Amino acid sequence: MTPRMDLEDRLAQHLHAEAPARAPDRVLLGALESIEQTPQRRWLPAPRKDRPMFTLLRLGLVAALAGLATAMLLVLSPASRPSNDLVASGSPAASPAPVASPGPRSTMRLFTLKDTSAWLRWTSPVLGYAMRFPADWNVEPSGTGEPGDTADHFTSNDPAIGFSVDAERLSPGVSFADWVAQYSADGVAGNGQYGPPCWGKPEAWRSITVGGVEALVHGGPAQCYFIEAVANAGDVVYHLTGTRVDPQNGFDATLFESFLSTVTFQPDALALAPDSPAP
Amino acid sequence: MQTELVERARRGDREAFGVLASRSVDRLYAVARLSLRDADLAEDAAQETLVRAWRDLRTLRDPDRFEAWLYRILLRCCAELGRDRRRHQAGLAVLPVEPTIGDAAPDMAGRDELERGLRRLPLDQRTLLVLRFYLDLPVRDVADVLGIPIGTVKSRLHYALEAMRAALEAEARQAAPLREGRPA
Repeated sequence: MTPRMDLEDRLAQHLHAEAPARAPDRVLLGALESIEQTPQRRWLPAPRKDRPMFTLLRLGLVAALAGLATAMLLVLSPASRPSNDLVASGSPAASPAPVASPGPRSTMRLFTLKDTSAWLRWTSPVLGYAMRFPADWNVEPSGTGEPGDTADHFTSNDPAIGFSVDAERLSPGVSFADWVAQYSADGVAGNGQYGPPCWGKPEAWRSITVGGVEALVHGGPAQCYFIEAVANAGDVVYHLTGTRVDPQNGFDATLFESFLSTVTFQPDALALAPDSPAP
Repeated sequence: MQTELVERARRGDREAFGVLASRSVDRLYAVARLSLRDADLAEDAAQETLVRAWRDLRTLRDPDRFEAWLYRILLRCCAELGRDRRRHQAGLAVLPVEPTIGDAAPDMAGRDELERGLRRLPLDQRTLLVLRFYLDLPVRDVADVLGIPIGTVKSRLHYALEAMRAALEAEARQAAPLREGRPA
């Protein structure tokens, strides 16, 4: 009589005995055939975690740059321009969207934005924000991607170019400055191949205003494949990421800032579970 | 080597991904087959996993975690396919117990008993047992694949084994009257 085995041992033995040694060839062949027709999605994941600190130096730099930009805008902008549409060249009045345009608020934009008046309006039911996107782009809403991928993905006709928005709550007791410091450290550690031009120290990140709140921009050079603004609205951190997988060309800065100019945040509407796992 | 292939595949190198896929497909299929208990669904799950992995490879931050990430996609595919109850049940109705490979289970009665016990478990419990006892993943790695805390893995494993014991007892109870009524 066979001695009675522990259930775990019996299970392990049974599973190993029963497991097929090989997959039918058609599985791999079919997958490879599909892959030939399948473009890769074009965003980079936003590393998430919580973090530490900001220095007076950075705050001073932010204040100085903001002051400089404001002064330039005062010189360059017509007096009749609405206060919430400081630099957009298009006419929001022509917008077909049923919701009022939030308008751009950047203090750093020194070039003309794209005309977003004909862009489509997207209001996320999950992430708590609204944004416009070009009419020939598509949106893949949060939850339709891979496990843990909570972002909305805006996809263009060019498979190398995309834009994504994600959100996460700040942990209790963690300031935005802390979060940025940790985020930067995670980015350097997790995406080291992209190096300092893409992540670096948060003190070097460019400060702008998006949707009426402070945002910090990093990335941008072609080798980064991305440019990203992180913004803090009501203790919710938003990731706004433009991606272009092209070693020769970065994401179009004008397009990026045009996206940002249409964003409004509704952090109270954030419906993500607090512990939504990262990909 | 694998990390380099993953990096190349992330940059759109289909040939590199093909190498990764050919290395992974047998195990993906085996895990899907053991979890779903359905050969056709397992083929679909393994194939869909590879296609999704290619499509979303750029969301993978750490190339060293490619394998865990792949299994995570597989489990999502299995869960989605497992929800197709009617097809699944139809598959179960006609699916014979496949012949044993090698001589690992001489006790055929005990093997059938285990097989029926496994089929009684819900998919998520079966999957957990497959990760732990077929892939031989330590609890920490199971947690990584499932995206849940280690403590949760331990408690779920406990419940899965308890459910398995209960399923085996139920099988034994059902089999007893049959044995008693069978002519000598």
